Amino acid sequence: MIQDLTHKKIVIGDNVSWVVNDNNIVIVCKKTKEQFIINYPEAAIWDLISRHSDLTMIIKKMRIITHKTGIKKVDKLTKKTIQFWQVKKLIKAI
Amino acid sequence: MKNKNKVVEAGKKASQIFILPINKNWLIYAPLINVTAFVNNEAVSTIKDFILNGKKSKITDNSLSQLIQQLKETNKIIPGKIKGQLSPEIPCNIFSQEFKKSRQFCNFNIVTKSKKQMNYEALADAIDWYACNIKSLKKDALNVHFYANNLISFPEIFEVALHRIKYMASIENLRTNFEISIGSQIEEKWLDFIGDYFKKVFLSIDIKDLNQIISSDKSLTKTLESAKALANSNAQLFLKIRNTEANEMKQIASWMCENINPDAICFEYNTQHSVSKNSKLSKSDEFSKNFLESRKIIESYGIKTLYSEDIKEYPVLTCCPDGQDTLIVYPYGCFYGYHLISKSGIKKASNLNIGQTKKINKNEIINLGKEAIINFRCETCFCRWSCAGGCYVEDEHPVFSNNYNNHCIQTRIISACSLLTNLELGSEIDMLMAYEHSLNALKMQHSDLLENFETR
Repeated sequence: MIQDLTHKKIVIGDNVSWVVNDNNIVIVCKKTKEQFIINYPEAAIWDLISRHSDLTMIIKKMRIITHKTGIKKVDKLTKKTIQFWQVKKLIKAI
Repeated sequence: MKNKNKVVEAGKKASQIFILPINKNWLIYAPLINVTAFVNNEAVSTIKDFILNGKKSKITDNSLSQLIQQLKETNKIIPGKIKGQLSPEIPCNIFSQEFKKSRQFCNFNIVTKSKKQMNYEALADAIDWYACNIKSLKKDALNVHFYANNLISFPEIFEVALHRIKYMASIENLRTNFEISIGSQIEEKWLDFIGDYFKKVFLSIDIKDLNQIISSDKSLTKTLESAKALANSNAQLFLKIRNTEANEMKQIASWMCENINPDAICFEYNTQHSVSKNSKLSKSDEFSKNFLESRKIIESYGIKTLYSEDIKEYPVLTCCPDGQDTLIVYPYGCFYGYHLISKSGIKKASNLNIGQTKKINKNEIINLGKEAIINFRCETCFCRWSCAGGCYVEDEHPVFSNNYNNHCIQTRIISACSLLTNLELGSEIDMLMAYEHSLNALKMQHSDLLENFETR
């Protein structure tokens, strides 16, 4: 079940570790041994989450990071990415 | 403008072989062909005869003969003025906010009325312009230096800017290099961010904090805790020690190496720094002496010591980013050439503001490169291709005075000692620093050029 994250702080899930590379972030779920390579702009979302941002703030910042991409498109990308990570238990709400 | 051209031509005509009195001998230094040698009085006269007076007889001393051959090398590396399109080799600088304090970083001196965070739109525009410019010049990396006077007040601007740059780099297939200058303590969550994304961190530490710790054995201040954490991160940590009392430098150096273990330590020369009350030494002698002794201590820990005006591997036209391919992006999104806002009046900011990011004046950008000035007074100084006049804004340009200023003197001493260190002549340094007349001969020599050498 996917939690509504609108007014909550999002944090990195338990048993999840990641490495920041020059062009991407590699996330590893220690429990499932699954590995995810996250490129930009999604890599920026991961970094913002790692410092406990809430969804509203993440969306606000992603609009600047992806400047001129179009607000609707960016918001959709951000929400979809977060949802996917939530399903994969890479992140959680607190 | 006429003066500048004159200086360039004169520079080309001069031999660019410098000769420095070191105790009873001489240090020959030709930076444009990368030759340094330690010779006696007789050898200097022979060198002068052969190089400048065209003498051609045979020299029996093989090593001297080889040295003369090396000094005759005509293939000199003369760093030239920047021409054509702006092509940033050194970082584009982004300031998160205006500064109230002067000399916070890199002797920067801006007086502002209010703190103001950079506007996100202006920031994104500036980054886009920089990325497109780099791409059109077929360069492969975006090099950005962030100035964060206070990372606690405005941290978000950095994460947004950094990710915007990384996003643009991914679109344009460019690499990224980030550096950051910080002047305060850093919250824990930002320490990880800095460690993960920044290659170099320049952390300024006010020495007054450190004195308390050394003398009272109290726990680390927040800034020093940050320094310790950064030293253990992936980023390289460069500590910039401010407001140093010269006579405390060695103690500070040892303490920093033992307790923080950074990658490098830089003692910032502060024109206001005081000399210990009982010292008979001048300000610049005291700074140099203690800097050199501190350098020994620091290097014994395998840590680098930095002095921006020190001898460099390659000759440079200026060690000040002013006049080089560096841009600063101000909080309002204005681009300026480095150091071009100054109350000292050396530069007139009015014609050097190259525009708001949305309407950049390309001609002004091209003109920026032409601003590198060859310092007229430095022409006969052996530091002219390394210090090259120092900071254009803060240091009193020697063109305004007939004598070496404090900054010149300490740079001459430190640079000469660096050359001697490279030649493994540590004993000469000890002697030089111990005898006042030897030191005076070095620091006050009016012209270091070989053509002005007179047998003593």
